[in-house]
Amino acid sequence: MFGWIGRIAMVDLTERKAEFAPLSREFLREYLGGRGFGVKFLYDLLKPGVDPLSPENILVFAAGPLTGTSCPTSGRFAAVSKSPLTGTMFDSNSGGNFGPELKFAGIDGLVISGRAEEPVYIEIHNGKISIREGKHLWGKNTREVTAELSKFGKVACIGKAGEKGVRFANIMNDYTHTCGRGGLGTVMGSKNLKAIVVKGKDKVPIFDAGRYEKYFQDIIRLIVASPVSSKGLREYGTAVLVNLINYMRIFPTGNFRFSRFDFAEEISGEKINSSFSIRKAPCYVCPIACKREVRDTRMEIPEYETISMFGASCRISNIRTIMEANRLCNDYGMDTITAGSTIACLSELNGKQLTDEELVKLVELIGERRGIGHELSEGSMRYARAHKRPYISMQVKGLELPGYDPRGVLGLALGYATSNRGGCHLRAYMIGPEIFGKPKLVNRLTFSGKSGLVQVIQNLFTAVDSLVVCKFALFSVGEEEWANILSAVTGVDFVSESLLEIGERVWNIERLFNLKEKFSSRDDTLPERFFQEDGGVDGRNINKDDFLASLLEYYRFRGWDSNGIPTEEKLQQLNIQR
Amino acid sequence: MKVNVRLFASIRKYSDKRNLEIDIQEHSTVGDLLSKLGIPQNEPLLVIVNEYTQRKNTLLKEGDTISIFPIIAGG
Repeated sequence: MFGWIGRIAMVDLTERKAEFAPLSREFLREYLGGRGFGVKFLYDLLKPGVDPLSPENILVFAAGPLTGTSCPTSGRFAAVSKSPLTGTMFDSNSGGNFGPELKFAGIDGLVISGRAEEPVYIEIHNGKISIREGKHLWGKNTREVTAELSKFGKVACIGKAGEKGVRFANIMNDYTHTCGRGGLGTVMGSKNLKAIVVKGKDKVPIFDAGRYEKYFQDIIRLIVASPVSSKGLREYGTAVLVNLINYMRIFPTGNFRFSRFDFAEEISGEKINSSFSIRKAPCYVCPIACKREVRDTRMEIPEYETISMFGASCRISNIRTIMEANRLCNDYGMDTITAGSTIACLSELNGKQLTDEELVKLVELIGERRGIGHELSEGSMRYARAHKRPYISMQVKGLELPGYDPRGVLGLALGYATSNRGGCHLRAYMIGPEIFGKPKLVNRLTFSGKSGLVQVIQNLFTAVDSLVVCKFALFSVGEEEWANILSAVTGVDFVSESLLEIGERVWNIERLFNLKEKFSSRDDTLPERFFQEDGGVDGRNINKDDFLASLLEYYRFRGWDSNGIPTEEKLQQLNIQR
Repeated sequence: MKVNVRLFASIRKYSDKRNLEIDIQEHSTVGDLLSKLGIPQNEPLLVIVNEYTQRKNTLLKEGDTISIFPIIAGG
């Protein structure tokens, strides 16, 4: 087999046993890897209604067919489970070096079920899997655990947040790379699984080395030629967005009550570059190298989303405070968007501006799940509901919204509402066409033409999450180039359309999973604030009738009925059993 | 006519100031403004006029605010 290894490790932590299962060619062709693998396994294996933190839940780790090759930005893997934050199907993917090592060790991924009686970690070494005693690692944060296990291989682990049941705990790999957002680290903690360490020496076999080299060079050329991937992200990281998004009046401020922050310059990418000596810390085989750290201390530079939530949304204007909150989140292993947004929710609830010291303390209390941190560790939806103010939680399907106010980008508003994993910008990054003009500029203040565009981009991003390659490469590399190199690696013929069809298949399975979990079209909506308030820009509140019309049109484009349920015809076309 | 200009990220190298008020002829375009600022034609840019992304042939009017960024993206 080429590209894929063709086998996955099935690990039962209750029984403390692991065995390998072969993956059929049909399965590989239809689901590719990463998100596609995980979603299909969960859909087939998980009964509806299972508590995400019970032993019955399943946690999948999966690399893709390109992972472990030299294909630019392909050093990624996905983790997929049922989310304890949202109750939806939930995937998240991460860079670093852990993903390729899975392939070098002789597996495409792991399907983990059950719960160990006591803390354990999984060691995978050249095709051998061991479940090892992990009590000595319990109670430690991710930096310490990674340092301790790194002598055995590449490490993915949880910190105290995952152990203690913070609903938005992350899985951290290679120190600061993250499977973030929906609490996949919480699922890992509920299984008493502290870490996975992997080491291998195999190479990923490539079907046609000559064609591969040609397509590899095509992709490199496109990345180098694009100012986005060769300059913008390299020089400033994602923090460069702060001033732009603020200027466009879509910078969530004070828990989305306002859309412009007066102190944006103080927390901007420009400010970071002028304040610190910075070095790049790229992922495996990535020429973009957006990830950066402070040269002397190796302290990680926060991403745009983190800055927007801990900064403007909590109205904190000191970049060093935001960096400390970010560092704590990474060490405890928890999501910065949800942590920041939940703290912003608390600030609105109390009607009180937080000091820098209070913000940092709250992050620590959440990680420890102590004092008020216990309540906040449930995420903003549960926190706001408990205080009888559900409308001040800025979430969709339980997942806190990222750093773009949807009132000023209506395609993104529809993208947020229809996202299968809840409020997320990475299902369809409509900021591309609506703000950057990539691939083509569209009017950001109308729903017209958005429903078709949103579903196409959702399908494309789902395919990209299944390959698994980095979405930043999509600013310069199109689906045709990915299909070409995928064909050269695997020996299976793919074209652009087949990639989009895979994306559509996986998207529809996610939808079916969520419907079985009692989600419905009522959940395809936005926080009421966006329909009622204007965010400080006269008349910019979203017209609900326009939104609902656009949602219905989106369902039609998807081949779903008016209740958002996939039709039999659509499922047959995609070869999906209901 | 007068327009307000704001420069960001690597585009700040073209001026000592981040915020400028520029006197420019009536019926000038974004491209004319870029020339006046000494920004090379081949510099990849994202130009926002009054909160809307615009092209180089967009006509400017009195009081416009023009924000100039390098081509950036992220998420």
